[in-house]
Amino acid sequence: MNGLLALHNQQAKNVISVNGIEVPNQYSELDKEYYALRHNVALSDYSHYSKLKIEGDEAFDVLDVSVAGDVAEIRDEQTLHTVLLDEAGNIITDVYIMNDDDSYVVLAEHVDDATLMNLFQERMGEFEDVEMTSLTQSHAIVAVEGPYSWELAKEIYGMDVIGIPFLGFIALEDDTYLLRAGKHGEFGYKVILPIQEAEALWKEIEEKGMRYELVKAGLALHKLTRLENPYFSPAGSGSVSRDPRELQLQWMVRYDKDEFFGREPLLEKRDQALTKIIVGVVLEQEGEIKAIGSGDVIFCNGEEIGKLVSCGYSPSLKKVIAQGFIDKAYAYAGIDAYVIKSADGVERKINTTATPFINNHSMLINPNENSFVNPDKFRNMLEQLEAKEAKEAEA
Amino acid sequence: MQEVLKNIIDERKAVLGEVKKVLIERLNLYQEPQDIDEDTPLFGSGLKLDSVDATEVVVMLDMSFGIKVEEGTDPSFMRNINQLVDFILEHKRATEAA
Repeated sequence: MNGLLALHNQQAKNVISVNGIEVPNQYSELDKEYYALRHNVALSDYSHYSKLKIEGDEAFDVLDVSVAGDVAEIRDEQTLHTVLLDEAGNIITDVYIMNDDDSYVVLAEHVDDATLMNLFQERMGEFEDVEMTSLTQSHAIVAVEGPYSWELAKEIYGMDVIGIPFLGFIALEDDTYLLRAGKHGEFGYKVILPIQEAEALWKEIEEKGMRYELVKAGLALHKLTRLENPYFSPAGSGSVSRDPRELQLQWMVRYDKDEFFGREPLLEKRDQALTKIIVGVVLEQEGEIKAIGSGDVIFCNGEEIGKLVSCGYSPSLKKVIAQGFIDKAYAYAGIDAYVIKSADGVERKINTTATPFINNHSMLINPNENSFVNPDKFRNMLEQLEAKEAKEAEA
Repeated sequence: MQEVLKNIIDERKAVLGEVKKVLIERLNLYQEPQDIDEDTPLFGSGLKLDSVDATEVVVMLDMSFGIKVEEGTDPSFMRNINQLVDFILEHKRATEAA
């Protein structure tokens, strides 16, 4: 057992196995973990991501025919977030592809290590000059996430952290990377590093994170955060559809690329009219209502038009939110004419809405001007603006 | 579908279509309108627009929809296509009510 896992086993509320890797599912109370992620800093272990290094003169070619996105657009130290499709053009998993000076690191959350390796091997075709090395067992992923995670990451890795764009990364040493990415709408940094170094980093972040009121968090938290900021989820919207169009994930696909696995069936589907799509749904009534759940039917004037797919209570909105799989003719945001009928037999009004459901706190923070720990700086741009207006009013 | 609801949806569809068309034209996007989903993010991932493109979006709102974005306006309306359409429709309703 590696040192980081031993630490989790001692300290976490519970540890689960995902893709054959044990990671914390919950560290403390979920509301405490949620608050930290949405307002200051949360520390998580994402070592369950399958990690694959792909190198060689034909590494680009293999990747480009394997994934639906355009690998050619990834510059050095940038990352493409795209999808792997099956032979029917349906999404198997989303993947991050990091370009490290024309060798690539692939991260996938929803398939295990052997499956990820097989998916690329079966797409290799005649390309031979490619070497694939699994980093899944040898490497951990330690993540700091939240509106002030950039500031904590800066304390450890220096000023360069501030300059990392979303989906950019820094190659620190051999096979160690600091990647800015996240599936929750807040600032987020993943450190991909040799597993024997992970425990020391975890402890360093924990210690330095104290003044940021850092909270250690597990994977359970992200069932909710990824509902508030939807991403591909096999257990959520992926349980009713794997079609990028129905899931509103066409931005992960590059239709005009000459060749990629699953392209032809996807193009055939594209020529057909959509019948249903995923749309954001917010309950009109405030509060947490346990009776509402996946499968609840959505009606418009007594006519069934769809079903709830995944749902949960958003502490930020203080309302139940959900994804609805709704007939295309009715599937538009900004409609307040629908109701759902839940297990308790009660009909409740819903509003369809744009997603993400929430305005993330990180959007209010400018790393060049704000700070969580520096008393000479405002914590966010809103406080900064209010102070400026107050000063002007005084003058 | 009731007439009132049909009108609301038709109005939204018309603005969605216009927003996609104008964004494709002004920003030289490679996508066809049907390939841009309504919750597609404009910045970061999604359409991967940058700060120069953000200025173009503001110009587009003025030129195509007659909306002058005031300094200090909460920029979250530019988060995705749907939020941009919400912003346009809210502005239209406010203008009609005035």
